[in-house]
Amino acid sequence: MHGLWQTQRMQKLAHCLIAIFVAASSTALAAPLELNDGDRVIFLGNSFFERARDYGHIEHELLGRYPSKTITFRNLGWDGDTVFGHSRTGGRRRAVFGEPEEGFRKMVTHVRSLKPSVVFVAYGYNESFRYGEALKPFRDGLERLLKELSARDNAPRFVLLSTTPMETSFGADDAHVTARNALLKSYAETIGEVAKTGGHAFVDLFQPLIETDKSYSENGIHPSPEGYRCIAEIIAESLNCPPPAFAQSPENVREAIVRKNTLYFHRWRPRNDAFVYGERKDEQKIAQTEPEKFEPFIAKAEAKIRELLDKHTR
Amino acid sequence: MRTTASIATLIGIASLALCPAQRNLHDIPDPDPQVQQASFRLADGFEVNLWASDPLLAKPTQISFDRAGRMWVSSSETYPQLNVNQPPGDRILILEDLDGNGTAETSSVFYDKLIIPGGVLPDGEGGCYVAHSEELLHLADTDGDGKADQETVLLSGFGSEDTHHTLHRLKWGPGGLLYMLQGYYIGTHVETLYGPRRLNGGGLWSYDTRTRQLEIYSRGLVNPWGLTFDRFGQTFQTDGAGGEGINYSFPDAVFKASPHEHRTLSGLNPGRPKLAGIEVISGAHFPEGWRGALLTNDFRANNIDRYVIAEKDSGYTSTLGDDLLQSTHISFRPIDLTMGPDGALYVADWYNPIIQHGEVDFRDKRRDQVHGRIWRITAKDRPLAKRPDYGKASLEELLEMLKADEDWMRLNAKQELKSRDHDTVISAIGKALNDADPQSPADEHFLLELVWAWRTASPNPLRQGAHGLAAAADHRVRAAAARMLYYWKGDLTPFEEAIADPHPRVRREAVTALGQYASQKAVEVAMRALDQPMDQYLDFALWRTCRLLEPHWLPAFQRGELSFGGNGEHLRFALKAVEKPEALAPLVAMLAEGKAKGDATLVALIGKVGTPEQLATLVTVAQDKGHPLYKPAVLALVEAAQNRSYKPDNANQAMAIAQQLLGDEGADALTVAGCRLATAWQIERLAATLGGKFLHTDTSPSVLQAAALALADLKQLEPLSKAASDATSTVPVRVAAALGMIQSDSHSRAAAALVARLMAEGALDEASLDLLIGATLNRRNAAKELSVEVIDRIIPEAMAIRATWRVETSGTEVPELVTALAKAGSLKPAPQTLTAAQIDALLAKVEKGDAERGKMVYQREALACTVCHAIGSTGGAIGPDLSSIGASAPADYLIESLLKPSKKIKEGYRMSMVTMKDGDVASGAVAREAANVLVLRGAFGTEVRVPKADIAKRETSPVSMMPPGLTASLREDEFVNLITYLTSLGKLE
Repeated sequence: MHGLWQTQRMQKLAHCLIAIFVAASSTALAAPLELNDGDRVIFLGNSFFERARDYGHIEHELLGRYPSKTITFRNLGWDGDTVFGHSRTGGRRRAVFGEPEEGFRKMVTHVRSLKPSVVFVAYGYNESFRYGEALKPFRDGLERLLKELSARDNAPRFVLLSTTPMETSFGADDAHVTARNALLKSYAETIGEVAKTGGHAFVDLFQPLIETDKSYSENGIHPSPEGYRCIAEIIAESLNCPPPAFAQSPENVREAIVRKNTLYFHRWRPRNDAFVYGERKDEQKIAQTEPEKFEPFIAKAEAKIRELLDKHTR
Repeated sequence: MRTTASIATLIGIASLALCPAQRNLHDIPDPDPQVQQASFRLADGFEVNLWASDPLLAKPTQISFDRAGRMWVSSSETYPQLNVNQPPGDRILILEDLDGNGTAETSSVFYDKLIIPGGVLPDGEGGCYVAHSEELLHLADTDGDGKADQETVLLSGFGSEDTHHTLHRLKWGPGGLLYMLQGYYIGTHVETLYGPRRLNGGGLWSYDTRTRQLEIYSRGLVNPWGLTFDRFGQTFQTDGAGGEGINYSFPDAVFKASPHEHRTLSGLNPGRPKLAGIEVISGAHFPEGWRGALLTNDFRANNIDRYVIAEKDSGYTSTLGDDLLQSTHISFRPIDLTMGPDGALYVADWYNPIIQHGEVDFRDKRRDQVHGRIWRITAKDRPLAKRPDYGKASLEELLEMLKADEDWMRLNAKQELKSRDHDTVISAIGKALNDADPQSPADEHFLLELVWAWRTASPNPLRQGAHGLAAAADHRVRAAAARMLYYWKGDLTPFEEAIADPHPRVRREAVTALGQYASQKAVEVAMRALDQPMDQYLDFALWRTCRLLEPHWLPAFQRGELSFGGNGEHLRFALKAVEKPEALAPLVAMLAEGKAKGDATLVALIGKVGTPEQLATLVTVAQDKGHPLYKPAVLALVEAAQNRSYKPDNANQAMAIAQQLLGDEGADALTVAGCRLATAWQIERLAATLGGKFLHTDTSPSVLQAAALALADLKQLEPLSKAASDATSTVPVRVAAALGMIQSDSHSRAAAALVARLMAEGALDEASLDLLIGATLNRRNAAKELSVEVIDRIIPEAMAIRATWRVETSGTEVPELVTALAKAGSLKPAPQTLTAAQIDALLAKVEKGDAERGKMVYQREALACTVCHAIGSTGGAIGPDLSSIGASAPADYLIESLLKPSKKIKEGYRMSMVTMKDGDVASGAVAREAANVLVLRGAFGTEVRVPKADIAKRETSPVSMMPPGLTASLREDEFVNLITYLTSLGKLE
């Protein structure tokens, strides 16, 4: 794994927990989701998706369920984000640094510009700290987000992911974890209710992850590589995807996915945003032409994924 | 010697390879370390040697020693920006001086898959922490081969909007927390076990590696790249983009440039240049007189400065002492410095003629991406420090090391204790705490170190009362004890003494710690700080604590359950700190009852945030001319009327107030306030009074202008037309009349004619011209009308030039007016483009130019440099401060900036253009912004307040506020000397 040029995480040895999870996931609320040729899937959410970018397991799993279909994925996760786009405001104009509504608009515009047919949504963790037991602001915010994203023709299909539980023995005391989990469970249920009301697919990650006695996370809240692998299976099973096409999922496909994710990340969120788009734009000219130059490399990376899938299917 | 020779050979090869690429560049110094070393001038008694150089390392961003004495280096050849499709390749290096001869022989690559790491801190167990763009990473070496093989993202979500502002400078604090910094352009959103942590703008973070708790220690500073702790745990920061020298900080402190924070603390050395890195001198190797001083890098002037700090009130003073090192080598960029295990000072030299990425392009070839140096500074003929083997030391020996003079030795001992068996260590510390004599002054600091050792080694708080630090004779130890309460909390008992402590710093620490206690009682205790003398830090800390605890006391107060023991002063401080209408209510009641007669700040606060009911109290005061708060009340009403559209319910009262003000002949400020209220409250009945101002020859210009604007706003232009056409009108009357008429569509053409006539007569002074041109530019068609009126006249050259500047610096493009002014003023066109060859020729001349003569050119009034730019303490604040421009910007950049100001505009000096809902426009740099009002600072320093509710559109202008062609009138030799002068600024004499 060291030889990879992209931001490929060095991983600890895998101890697969899948057996436990698959069994547990049969109790999860299931709603079918069929992916079609030409689908453009977006992952929208907080650190759950932002961190998934460097691992690629969820996309990997879904592609393994539909190996002959051409489906493209864009990961728009952002650490610390909420259904209100709190993390997406950026420092583009110094005086209004941090007005959430600007971030929300940026998020909606970005998602729409990608013309998605399916949007996976993973929110709730950060909102649980802001609103606590008052679930209504979160529910309203989530419903507003879904409504805004559906406001045009060709509204995408949504898959809502529940919150995931907090785990003990990562530094926080047990009482804190117990209290948080009670709250996170109610947020998971709220997401389920929003899905039911809106007729969206829903995947309950909370229940299977809290029921297992193994750890899914690397820090108490965010999935480890192995955790993502298992979560990917829960998602695919919950959505009644076809069985995996490969007995052993080809690792080079996942590596190609991570490479594509990394390139798209640089395209979408180049470092030096202040110079590329923001307050310091006039100090630099060259920088502003660079993000677009990632496009051909992204296309190439995408072609590589296709090529590898074809090779393995053959 | 052998090693040095081989390094020199390699550098020779590297330079050869670079030569062709550098041939066309200007002022690139010879990268030979000997050339660099020859430029160093050290303080008496010191010497410097090259400890390590490229290719052992390149582009260091932080240096940090581990307990084995190895230096860890984070480095970035990628900075300032990753190329398209470039693989990450930045490195963490480990450098070592194996034979103890004072130079490093080996360098090994620990990890090389990074993008612009801003800092590294060894974990003492073979791995390290890395500040890596959006993440705090932990790299581990699990198989002991000296290479990282496990990468863990501990925290993610740090912003990356500006790659030299991203997360950087990792340090252990004395109590075991990991500290790290970020700069202004960064928006951070990190998910933690305890909730999201968000920080927009600069700040200092603390992170507990065991509990994974991430907190903001202090906010603000533009780009802090220096952090250090003194012997008693007080923190000092330097700012790589600020100008206030040493900044004394403490938990919940807020400094400049923190978004949405309107109250901030200042640094200890306002006016000093930007600084990177900071270290306290400790240990016996440095001569006695140097110990305890702060060393920091003036990286733009290639110096290492010394600041001497002294206690004052609850804070400190800081004085610039003699430099430790001065250099004239422009690629010597000391950006980090640390005391080493031998007691010498180690300096990381970023080595670059270009400092950062603002001034030149990301891909500018002059950016050095291959060199980097570590310099070692020692005191001549003084023994080096002993280097203990921490790993082999017994527990007793480690505890004994906590008495060392060397700050790093005590820190290393504590970190070593952290890696030993928890229970054994804790019991040994507990025993040592018992054995130490709290009555012995000699033991006090040792006791403090034991408490810090406990905190470093254990996540569990030490039992309250387990140490006697609160009773220490040394106030610095008592202050550190109060700080422990910030982290460990517990009950409020210890605060009874701390808040009444004879030393202000202990009281300040107590006030700060109380901000962490979510209770009503905590704010009541904190308020007792007011019973003794206050100072700026105490006042800030108390204000902050009141606000932090607001949810825990304000509701109780409103329910009548909190009275601050009937102490009016305590109550008033707390309520004012909150700055909310609901908290103001009782104060307004006191005002109404006549109990707060002298409190002008309270009245101003009501104007800013008060409810209509509260403002009604001011309406009462404003009708009573004899009231001691009459003037503040009037000004507060103007503020509320202009920015929040407040109007009294009772029109007669409004009328009475404005009328009284307008009748006030003695005080212009009050009459002007009357004009403004007449406008804001639309009191048409006052038109006659306003018009009457034009009948008195002795009315002041400021009143005339305010009256004219009021009349225009009330659509009563008759008095203005009359004054304009009256041949006997004075110039100030005609200026005011024109100002008012410009505002009206039906009179703007007549106004344009009047302005043109005034210009042709040469009757306008600079202020009046600026005023009228400014007003003209703010109305959609007025500029075109003025062009038509001006073009066939003859106006004095000086006036045409100034008017042209005013137009060109407005951010709006009105070519027809510029043309008309040029024709009317017979101005020569100023073609100012240079080919690359011409620039080269010019640069050669600049080298030999005369800076003294250049200074005289700079100070010429006709060039107006000083109107906008400051050097030292004189000059304007409209453009960037040029005090050390020569140290930060290459000569060709300066030439380009003079000829084409809009090509590269320094951050913070871009112009905003605002279009109002009524079509008017306003422009300028954003001076301030509040929730409901935007204040723009125009090119000539004037400020315009724009209520946000009236704004239809906001844009930023691609045009610089600095007009092109300013130097068009200069001869070449004058231009050359000017550049020579500018390049000399900030460099050594």
